[in-house]
Order: sequence, then structure tokens, then C-alpha cells
Amino acid sequence: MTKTNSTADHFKNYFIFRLYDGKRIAVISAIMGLLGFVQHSVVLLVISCTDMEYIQKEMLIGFSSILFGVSILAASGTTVYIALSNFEFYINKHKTDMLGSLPISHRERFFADLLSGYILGVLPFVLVSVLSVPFFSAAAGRMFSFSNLFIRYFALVILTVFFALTFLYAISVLSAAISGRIIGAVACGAVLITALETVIQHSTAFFISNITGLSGYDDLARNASHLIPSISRAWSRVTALMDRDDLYFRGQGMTENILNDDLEFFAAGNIVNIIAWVVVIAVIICAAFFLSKHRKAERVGGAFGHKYGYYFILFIMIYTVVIFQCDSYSYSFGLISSAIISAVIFLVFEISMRRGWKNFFVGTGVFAASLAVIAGTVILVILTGAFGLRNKLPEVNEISAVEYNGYKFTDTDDISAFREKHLNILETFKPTLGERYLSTGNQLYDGAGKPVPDNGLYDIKYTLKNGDVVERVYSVYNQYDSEGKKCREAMNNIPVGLKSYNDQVLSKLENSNLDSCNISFKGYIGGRTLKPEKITELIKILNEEQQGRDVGSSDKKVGSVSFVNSEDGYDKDLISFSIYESYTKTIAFITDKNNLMPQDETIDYTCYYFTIYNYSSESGLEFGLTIYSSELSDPNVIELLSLLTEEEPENKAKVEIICYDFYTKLYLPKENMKRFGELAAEIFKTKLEKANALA
Amino acid sequence: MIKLENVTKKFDGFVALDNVSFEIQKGSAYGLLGSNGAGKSTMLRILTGVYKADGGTVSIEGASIYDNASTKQKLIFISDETAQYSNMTLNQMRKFYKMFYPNFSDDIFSRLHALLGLPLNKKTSAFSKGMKRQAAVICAIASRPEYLFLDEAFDGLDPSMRIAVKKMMVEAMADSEMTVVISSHNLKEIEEFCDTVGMLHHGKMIFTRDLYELKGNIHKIQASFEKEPVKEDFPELDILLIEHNSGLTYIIAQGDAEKSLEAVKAKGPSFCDLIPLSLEEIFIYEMEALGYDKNQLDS
Repeated sequence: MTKTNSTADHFKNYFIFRLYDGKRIAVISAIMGLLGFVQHSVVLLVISCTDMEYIQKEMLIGFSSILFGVSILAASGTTVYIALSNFEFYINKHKTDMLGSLPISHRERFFADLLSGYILGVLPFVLVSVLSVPFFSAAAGRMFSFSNLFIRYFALVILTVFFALTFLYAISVLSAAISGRIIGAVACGAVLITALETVIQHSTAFFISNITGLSGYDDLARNASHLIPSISRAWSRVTALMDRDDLYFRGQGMTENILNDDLEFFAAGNIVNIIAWVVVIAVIICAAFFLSKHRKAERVGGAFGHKYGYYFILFIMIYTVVIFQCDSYSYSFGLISSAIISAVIFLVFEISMRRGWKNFFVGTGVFAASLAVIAGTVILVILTGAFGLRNKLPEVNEISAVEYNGYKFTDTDDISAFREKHLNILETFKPTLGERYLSTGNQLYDGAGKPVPDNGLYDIKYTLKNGDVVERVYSVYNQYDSEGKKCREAMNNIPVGLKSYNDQVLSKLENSNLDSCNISFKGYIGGRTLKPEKITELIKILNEEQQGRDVGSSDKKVGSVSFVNSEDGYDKDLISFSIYESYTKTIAFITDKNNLMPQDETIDYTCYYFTIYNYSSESGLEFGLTIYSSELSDPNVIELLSLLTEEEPENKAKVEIICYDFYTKLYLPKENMKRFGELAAEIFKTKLEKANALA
Repeated sequence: MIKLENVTKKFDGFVALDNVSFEIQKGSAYGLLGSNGAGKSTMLRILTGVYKADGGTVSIEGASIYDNASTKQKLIFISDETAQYSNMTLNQMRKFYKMFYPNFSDDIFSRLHALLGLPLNKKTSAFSKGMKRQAAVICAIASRPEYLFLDEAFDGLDPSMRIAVKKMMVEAMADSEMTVVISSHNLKEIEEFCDTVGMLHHGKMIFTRDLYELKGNIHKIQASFEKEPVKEDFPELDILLIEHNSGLTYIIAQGDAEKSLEAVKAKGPSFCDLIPLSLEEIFIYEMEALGYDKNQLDS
């Protein structure tokens, strides 16, 4: 009589077998953890404890960063390997008979494979990485006064990597369950990761925000992307810990800002996101279990474990490519390029899968049909303006006020006229397959993930009588062709002839806890800061001038003021107003040096430099002229910089000036080009002489 | 007892097993015969729970096999694939089987290992195909399963090893009433080892029969006549085939051998004798009697 094991024994025996079988992977994973976070932390500690030269420190951190990066990549590779190795029953024909006939149920085998693989491939790396925290804390304590911030950042990076590896493991398991061969599993995993990382964000952006201008969805799209424990995001956080931008050697303020920016970015990864990550991973595992339970053992060795698995992956791949391309480029280009790209990927799939001619022809039919359905849906959404959603605005009798780029209209006639103009623009510039004009695809975000103000967005808020707000945010996608210019002009001219009530917005500011006001104005490179005690006065002057302003006049925008409300020592809110040529009192106020913080207190020019790139021969400059801080006292340099503006002029020269330390792009108005060329040639000549003298 | 009722298995429309029904008695040595692609391996995979039948029922002692760990505990499947143990040593294989089969006997393992002299701590990837097969059989027998399934069991073994492996299995069967199911396209191997045989052809079970009964029921008579007789000359015999070669007449008949011999002698041959039939010949004649073409069976 055969002795029999209990169900728990079946699971336990198989689980132990798997752990024993893959013990080497656990060792490799742990070594990767040592070479990664631990090694990097120890190097930082050594550097902080020794008095070595800056160049030596930099070299050591550089080398340590390479090892760090390699270890993360290797840990990712190990994760994929152990997943595919443990689930070899589905993808390795040689193992099917042995594993399939073992006394273990399907469910027991799945979860034993899942847990043992995770314990072997992911946990050793993460657990060893956690050991690095004391080393890093000690190093950070010696290197920075804000070590808590740094340690918090470091811990969050480990947490992000932990979830990213878990996500990668889950996707690899799912890929094995879908596939019939290793190559299929790898291809499937690549498609799934790419799709999950891009589709959520781009689908939302494309189908809702881009077409309709509905606000909030762009943010929703960005936040939706945080719901995935993204591998690429984890990698970018890891690279931040490497010697990015001299992270460890910068001035404290700059390093603090970088960390704060990234931590703000992490803010999206708060507990809600972590719960979402756990749910996403659990859903993937459940899907993998369901698919593996319902697959036939004989599918191993074939291209896919399920008859329709390949077509599912094919569909996802085409959808991802189409949505990504159409969201990123003009619709016609997006559709054509996505058809070409997906066809190439399809052929690579077919060739590598060697599914045979018959299946190739069937696959080609499925590919063509999928492409037609997806592209057809996209075209339908474009041409119908998301089935009429684009033109759906609240009725006039429902609206109590309209706010538009700093203006507020409460008069019923104004509201009606505004809404009419809004609808006319939507009708005139409705998207076609050839081009799109209004979209929100160009929204820019700062390091903290907030929309960058004054970036050419047209923000319309309809406040309804019931208190609800209906918002539409547009940007002109193609600003420089003739239709794009007309569109931009039409958007700018919406308020023409309407009465502006901007005072209410400014009045709110008067009662706010405003810490600073930054001014962007001609010649103010990097901006200037208003004296705190002058903020209230500026708001009053600005209020007066805005109230009396003839909206829609041919006024030129010459600058902007941004009011910063910093509650916790970090920018929490930023409200910006444009300064127009007609704002004489405001301009006089912000150009009065008595109202401004002394320049040397606001900007430390000793560490900044500018690089001027020449994109044409018009200015007579050579490529890449760098002006260093030491040269800022040169009268020629001072004059040259005064010719530049942060506001993008209507007619600009083809010269790009980048101030690196502000990450700011400066523009050269065309009318200043001649003088700029003369000065630059003079400066350049001087620099050459200096260089020659040094040589 | 192993019981299959109307078992069907299809692979993307290709019918690998078509409504197959048969039984295997406990303690027997069952030989599953068939040409390449007949469905033998598929049948074994269904019997061992690797594959799920698309239709019909398969049971061991009344219990289903697929996804049933308790039933699988009673069986071991040694497939024709030897790469599956490549990353293990024989010692690791021993631990592996011991983990899953509580009846595993270290004594039997040691005895069989000593008999074959395989290295214990060398990766089986360095073994020859025959050595890998021996290693798998040693572990399987030492696990003392109630049912042992072997796909192309003696493939890759040299003659001396074939004898050794067969001996090991026969001893195991004698010791523990183990049921052995062997698939092979080598009739001689099956003839030497099995007591029951089944013939699969193009997914259909053509027959399943006790080998001794099969052998006893069909016989070949060699005789010499002045005038070559025809089938109709022996109305009392159930003749499957009558052939003439070099002046000799060969009569293949079913029924009692002695009675058949007497009936032939009664026709006055100058020479007459009963000669033994090989299993291969029995099959060919049996199949032809069932209406299958001999040439078709070879394909």
C-alpha cells in the first residue's frame, strides 16, 4: 500500500524542491544587492570619512554608480530568469512530463513556483539592500545637514525598486503562463510592460484630454501612470542616487531642491499608490493563475500557451503603438507610423515564433483586422470629437462665471458671448486626420509634477450656479503653421470686447500668506525677486491696471509676476499674471530697484554659466559659446545678456541661449540680433585670446 | 486497475486519440504498441495526468488522475525525454524522488545503484542517454510506486543494460505488485516483458489482449504438399493466411493448435510441423485479420 502525503505535504515538498533547486539564484540576487545599494552606501561613507581630493571622490562615486546600475540591471535579469525558470512547466518542453506527473495539484504547483521564485529572485536583493540603510544614514549624516531628507529619499528608492522588481516578477510569471516558449515569454513580457507603462497614460490623454480639452484628465493620466509600479520610474530614481548632476557635491540648497523635487514626485507614490501597486501586482498574479489553470500542458513548445494568447498580445501591441504615436504626433503621422512600426514588430514576432505559413497567413489577417479596428476607432474618436464630448459645454443659464487665463467674466452677456466664441473656435479648428490644433498634449510639468504656468495653455473654467466647475484646457499643438497661428490668435482674442474682473483673483491674493514674488522681465536673467514688504503694493497696482485694461488690445506681453505661497519652506502654490506693455505703473514698479531684492542676495552668479548655441549664420557666432560666471562683469557680457528675454518673442532669432543652472531657455528678439552678433563676436574674440594665452 | 473509457485527445484539430477504451489489471505488465505517431506517448501522458483528456474518463482505482495529487502519488512516469534531469546529480535525483514519494527505499536505491555502477555525484548532463535512462529507472523503482509508466523504456540501453533494467523491474513487480505500463514500437521488448498488450494505430486502440492467450490462439503450420493447397481445402480451420514459398506451405490459423495440425496432416503432406510465431508475426496476422493492411501498419 502506498503511503500518501497530505495536500500540505505536496505543497511543502515541491516548495522545498524549488528552493533547493534555485538556491544559486538567491546567492546571485543577494550579491547583486551587495554590489548595488550596499556598495554605493559604503563608498559614500568612505568618501565622507576620508579627506580625498574632489576629483578622486568624483571618480570613486562614478565607478560605484556604474556598479550600482549594473547590479540593478542584473537583479532585474535575475528576477525574469527565476520567474521563467520556475514556471518552466509552461515554456520548457523537456520538463513538462517530469513536472506534470508529480504528485502535486496544479494550484499547489503554481503557488509553490510563485513563492519560491519570489523568495529566491527578489527578496534576497531587497533584504540585502535594506542593510545599506545604516551605511547610507551614516554617510548622509556626515555629508549633509539635511540627512533625514536624504535618508528618506534613499529608503523610498529601495521601496520603489522592491515594488518594481515584484511587478517585473509578476509580469514574467504572467508571460510564462501566456507563452509556450521562452522567446514568446520574453516578447510577451516586453509587450506587456511597455503596454502597461504607456497605455494607461496615453489612452487617457489621447481619448479624453487631447481630443476634448477636458481638464483634470491630463493629471488623471499622469496620476494613472503612478498606479503602476513602473520599472522605468524606479530606474530613474536609482539613477538619481548615482552621481546625477553632482548630487553629492553641489551646494546644499541645490541638492535639497533636487531631492525635494523627486520626493514631491514620490508624493504620487504615497500609501494610496502603494495599495494600488499591491492591487495591480495581485491582479497580474490572479490573471497568471487563471491562464495557467486553463491552459493545456501540450501547448508547451508552441508559440503561445493559449490559442488566442498570441492574438491578444498582438492586439495590445498594436493598440500601444497606435495610441502612443497618435498621442505624441499629428494624427495622420501617428496613424501611418504606427501601422509601419506595428507591422515590423508583427513580422519580427512571426519570424521568431516560426509558427508556419498557415498560421502566418491567419496571423496577418488578425493583424490587419486588429489594426483596422484600432485605427478605425481612433479615427472615429478624432472626427467625432470623442463622440461630441469635445463640443459639450454647459448652457449659458447654468453658468455663473467664466475664468480665462487670469480674467473672470460674470455678466450674462459676456458669458454668452464667451461661450459662443469658444464653440466657434472648437468648430473652426476641429481635429482632422491631417492636423490637430487644439490639444492638451503639450502640457509641461515642473519637477514637483505641477503644470508649468505661462506655457501657452488656454485654460477656460466655467463655474456653474450649483458650484460645479467645468474646465477645458487647450494648447495650440502646431503653433507655427498658418492655421496654428490663426488658432492661437483666435484663442487670444476670446476676451476681446468682454469685461474683465480679474480683481477678484487678485483680492484673494491680498489675504494669502505670500512669501515671495518672482518677476520675469526683459533683462532679468533668471528672474528677480520682489522685496516681501512690496508684495501687497504690487498686487494693488496690478489690480488697478488689470481692471482698466482693454482686453484683447494689441498689447504685447513683456513679462510676468508669480506669487509664491510657501507654507512649509517649499513652494506649495504659484499664481502667475502676465505683464503687458500697457501696464506702465506695474512696469515702473517692478523695474524700480528699490522694490527688488538686491541681485547678489537672490542669485549667486558665481556658479552659473550660459551657453549660446547658434542655429544660423545670421548672428555670425560659432556653435557653443559659453559665458562663465567670471565673465559676467564684462560690460560686453552685461549688454549681451540684457538683449535676451525669457518671454518668447513673436520674432526671435535662431539662437538658443541656455542658462544651465536655471534650466532656463532664453530668447533673442530679432530686432536685437545685430547688436547681439557684434557683442558676441567681440566676446568670442576675447575668449579666443584668453584661450590662446592659456595655451 | 487503470480504466479508460472513450478517451479522446485532439491537438489543434488533429485527433491523437480517438474514443479509446481499455483496462489494465493491477499487477500486470502492459505493453502499449504502435508505430511512431500512433498516440502511445499521448496515451501515457493522459494516464499519468500530464495531459487532460478532451473527452472520456481515465481513472486509477476509480479515482481521476488529472490534477489529482493523491492518485499521482501512486504513479511515476519515466518519459522518453532525458534532458529533464540534466541539472541534477543522481544523488539529487534520489532526494527529489524521496521528497515526493514517501515509499522511497534507500536500500533498493543503493542495491540498484551498486548493480549499475552509475556515479552518484556527477551531473546527469554528463551522462549518456542510456545512463540517464538507467538513473531515472533506478529512482522510479526505488520510489516503489504502484504504477510505473515508461515511454520507450529501453531506448538507448545497450543489450546488457536492457537485461539488467528488465530484471530490476521484474523483481520490483514481484516484490510489490507494481503495475508496469510500457510503450514501445519494439515488439520483441514487449514480448519479453509484458503479459498484456494493446495496439494503438492512428489514435485508435485496435485491440488489447492477454499475450499468452494471443500467442496460444494463433499458430503457424509449415507443410509440404505435392499440389499447393488453397484456403478452401481446409474448411474446418479458421485460417488467417495461407502462403507458399519454395515448395513449402505456411498456414496461419486461429484456434486449437493440435486440432489444426491434425487437420493439415489429414490432407497427406510429405512434411508437416507446428512452428512458433513471434509476437511481430502474430500482430501482423491479427491485424490483417482485422482488416488492416500490413504495409499501412508499418507507416
